[in-house]
Amino acid sequence: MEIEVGRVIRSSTTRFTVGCRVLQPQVPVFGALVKARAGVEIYGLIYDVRMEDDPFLRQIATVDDLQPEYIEDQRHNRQVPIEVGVLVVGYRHNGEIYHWLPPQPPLSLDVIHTCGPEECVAFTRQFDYFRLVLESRDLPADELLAAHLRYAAQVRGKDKDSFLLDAGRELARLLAMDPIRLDALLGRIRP
Amino acid sequence: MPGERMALELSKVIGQIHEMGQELAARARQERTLSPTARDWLRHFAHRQEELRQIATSEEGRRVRCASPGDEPLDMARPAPTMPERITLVAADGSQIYPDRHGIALYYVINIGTIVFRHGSQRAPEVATNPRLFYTDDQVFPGGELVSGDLVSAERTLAEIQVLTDLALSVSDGDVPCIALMDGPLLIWLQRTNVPQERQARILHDYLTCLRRLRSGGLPIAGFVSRPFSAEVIALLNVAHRLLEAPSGIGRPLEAKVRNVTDRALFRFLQPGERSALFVRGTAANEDFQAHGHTIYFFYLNTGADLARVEVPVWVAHHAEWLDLVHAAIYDQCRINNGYPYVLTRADEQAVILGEEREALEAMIGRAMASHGLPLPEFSRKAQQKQKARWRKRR
Amino acid sequence: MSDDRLLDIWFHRPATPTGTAAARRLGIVVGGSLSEGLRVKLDQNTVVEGMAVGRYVVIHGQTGRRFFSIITDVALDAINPAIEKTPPDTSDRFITQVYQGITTFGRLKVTPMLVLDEGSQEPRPVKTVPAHFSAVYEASEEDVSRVFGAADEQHFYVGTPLDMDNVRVHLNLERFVQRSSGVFGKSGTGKTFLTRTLLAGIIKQGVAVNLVFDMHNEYGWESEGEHRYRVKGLRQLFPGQVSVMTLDPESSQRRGSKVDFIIRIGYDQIEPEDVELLAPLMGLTDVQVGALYFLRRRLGRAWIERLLAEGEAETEGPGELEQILDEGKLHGGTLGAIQRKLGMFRRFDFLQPHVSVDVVGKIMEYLDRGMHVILEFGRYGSTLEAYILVANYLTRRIHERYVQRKEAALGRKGEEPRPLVITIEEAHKFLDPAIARHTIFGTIARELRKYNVTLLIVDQRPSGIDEEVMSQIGTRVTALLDNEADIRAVFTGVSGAGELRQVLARLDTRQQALILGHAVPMPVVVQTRPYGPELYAEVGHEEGEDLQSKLERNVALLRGEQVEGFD
Repeated sequence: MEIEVGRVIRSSTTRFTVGCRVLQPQVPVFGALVKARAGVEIYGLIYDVRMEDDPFLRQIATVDDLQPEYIEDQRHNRQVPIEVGVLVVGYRHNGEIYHWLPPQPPLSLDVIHTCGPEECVAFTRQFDYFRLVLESRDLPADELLAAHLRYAAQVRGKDKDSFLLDAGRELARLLAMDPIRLDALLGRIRP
Repeated sequence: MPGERMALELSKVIGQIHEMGQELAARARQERTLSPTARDWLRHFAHRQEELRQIATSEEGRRVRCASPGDEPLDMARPAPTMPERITLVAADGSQIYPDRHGIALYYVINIGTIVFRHGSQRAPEVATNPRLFYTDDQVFPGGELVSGDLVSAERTLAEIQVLTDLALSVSDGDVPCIALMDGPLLIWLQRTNVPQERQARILHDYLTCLRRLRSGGLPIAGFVSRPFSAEVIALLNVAHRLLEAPSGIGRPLEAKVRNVTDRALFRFLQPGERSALFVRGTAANEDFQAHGHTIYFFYLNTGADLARVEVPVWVAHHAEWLDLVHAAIYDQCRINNGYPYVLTRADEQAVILGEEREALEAMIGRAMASHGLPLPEFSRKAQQKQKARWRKRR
Repeated sequence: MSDDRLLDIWFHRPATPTGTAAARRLGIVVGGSLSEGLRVKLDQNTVVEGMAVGRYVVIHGQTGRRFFSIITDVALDAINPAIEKTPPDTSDRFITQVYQGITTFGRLKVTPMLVLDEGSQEPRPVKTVPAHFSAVYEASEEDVSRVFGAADEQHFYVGTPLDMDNVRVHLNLERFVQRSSGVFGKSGTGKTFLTRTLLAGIIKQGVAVNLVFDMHNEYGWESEGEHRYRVKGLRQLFPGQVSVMTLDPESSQRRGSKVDFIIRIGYDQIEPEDVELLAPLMGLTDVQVGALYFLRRRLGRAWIERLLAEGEAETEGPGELEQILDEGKLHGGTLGAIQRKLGMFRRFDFLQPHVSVDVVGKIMEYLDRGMHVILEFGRYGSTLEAYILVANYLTRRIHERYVQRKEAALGRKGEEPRPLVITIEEAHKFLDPAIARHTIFGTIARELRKYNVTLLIVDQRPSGIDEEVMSQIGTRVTALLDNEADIRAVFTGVSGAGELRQVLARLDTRQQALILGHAVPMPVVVQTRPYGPELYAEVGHEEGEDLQSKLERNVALLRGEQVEGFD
């Protein structure tokens, strides 16, 4: 269930970037919980999936009657790296999950995997990492958190609604002074 | 110290840029006035192929390395033939890491990128790379001298056609027509380069061997030259103008200034998809190719965005069906990629070695050396400095 | 044994269940003071609509102390006041659930009443407040039971706290009778039933003897409520312990009330003091009241008879009255007015020129035997003058004897008289501020238990009662009051009353009462105990009814119809 996303190409304590060759149906997905297998396991949320700026591709895109071979080539063979931005939201050390920033960032070329449902449930048992996301104002933080929560709710099966309610309440606590933002965010995670 | 690097002082080149602008404008003006004249001549000599061939092979013609006409009318414009439903294009392109005296070790790398593009198959093309590391004494110090950049380039060109030949022959199954495509001129020219004499001979031999294999395999090959600056046809017209009677009432000879006008300007009358008449390359090197039955011909092609020169061996030039395939396929590829064959862009993309990849390679070489107990050579201070400086500049 | 039967056994509820369920946390203390009450922020899962003023909560302080407190207000609040301007989309259940208890939440105001030190079982009055963020729990049945004690010699079950059907609130009757008490409530709130229950308790526990001035004949023998069924009188419940006397034997006979004694009062036994209390009712001016004393002196014991006779016919020729007028000691108009006003006495058949029996002595005799006396007024109950005259007449004399007895006892010359509780209705007529200072009832209320006589006053207009008297009322049992002045009056002399007013004003109209004062450790709102078979059984009465009437009664009980109006 854990799928390799790619390898770290840039990293800092708060965020890191993963290079990834090809888009698979489930990977990488905006809002997905991923982890770097470093000394400590570092957890992050995919906040951005970016294809490098590529004049070649743009040129191809302007052609009207594009043969399928070109499309297939661009999609599957091009060495244009997909850059996946990951926001660090916590780490695990000696089996304990912490919802704050790890002591060190992942190293370059560390492999990044998606987290399976069980791990996702374990990580989202508490909501202390919400602030790390909400305070990243230069990111689409609310969209990110909403996408992540929808996924985390989905893997819970029948406990989906109660999970979303708990998460919503935590958000309401954190965003009590910003009702418009809160409203928009709640609208996105409403079951 | 960071941040103290002097920027390129643009203020100091303003004057020069101004002059450059004037010069370019003058050249364009000249080209505009001269090209119609040249075109008139082309029309004038259009059907005098035999006379022109003699002029081209005359002493004067060989001296100025002018092109030699084929059998088609010189001012011909031939529209692109219909693209066949299925056709396989095989392309190769290479890149290299030149040996660096300041590097961690003396070596060089040639990386050939390839693509097999099966038009009409609806399948993704197959791409591959073929990197080779050169590090033996014989490779790095041929004849006792440090390998030159010219030699590496020549080796690369040879590697390109070798990889291309092997690949094209392996994928060609006889059912679907197949052509091989190289980036750059098909005619290689090693004389007066910094390549040892015996290496020149071997490279040329190996190169011609590839052409021979392709010919016997029934596989047309072409070289694609974008934005050509050559003026071999102009040169031909100039010589003809001097040696034959002056055409009455159509301007004066172009004189020495002719070098400013290229064949590209001459053939601007071609409409998108149209190709010019075939000509024989006029360089001396073509004699070696001719000797082995691979005389290199060329035509100009309006790719839709620009004029390009396409080079083919004689056995393609004289094979109407293959020639049409080359014409149609290259135009079709250019059409979607802003005047450059798609497969060449992709082959190049595979081949290119990025800076970080080079760094990773060096790190691996360093580890390999260390694992054999070799002391790492002191990292050249000069190289370090250079790297740092460039890093700063990049930012 | 069938599965169902097994389940029944497993889930069998004990007859007197004790609250063992874990107490539910409601919220935390976020501020407040001892004088103004504590502010409590409700937890997100606590439904604000489930709160009610008058309910108990227990605050678990940081030092292990438990603070018993009463909810005095329920409010809504929000973290961000702007939410009042831009409320969220409440049509969405999810959004509403999220907001509840987080950005918006309920608040309580609670007043701490008692504190239980760690390890102690004896609640003490509260003198401090719990620390910030102390958790607030719904008071468990165990908690409330601990406060209101168990039923024993002194304690009598009067009702259940709100929403705690299994907890019994007990009144300490010994303390209840030590000082004067009051039962208040506007018309139709069940004062009579409350009073009857309290009287039954006093009789059962034997903490005092009762003398009840039963204005509407509701206490002695069974009476018919407004709802077509009959409730048993005290005499029926306590045969041999309660004696019924009457002023109106015909009425008693009609109602089937067995009467032990018919009260008759001789004109010659009435003193001006007995009449003075009637002055406001009869419209006697101060001059006329003064004239009463004068006339008594001049005319002697037969003064009333003579005044009344004078008004009827000139039987004895020019008498002393004319002489008085001639002397100019009395204005003719004054005398005429007095005669006219006292003429009302002629309609009172229980007044007779001469009565040989010592009514007061007779009553004292009963009381001495530990017999409880209920005095039915029969048709005179509707005449306030008769009620006041008789109550005042008897009480003055009985009190006088108690004073003598008590003083004798203090001098070790006799036995201490039994504590006596005198129940009067329409008490504000006796305890009006204008006359309370001079009347026997004011005196009794102020004396506390000095002479073993206390009052149980039943009234619908406590604001009409003299403030000083009111402040001496030890235990106040109050059903709903809606007049501000009445509510204020009930809390006269009670600290922290402001918060409790909210509670009082929000009682149900029936079967709910706030009890505060001497006989309860802390104010308590009770669902009053039904006056019915269960109570009959508790006081030892054997039911002799057939099944059908039982059924009818039970149906009535279920419908909550057992409370009788007072009007």
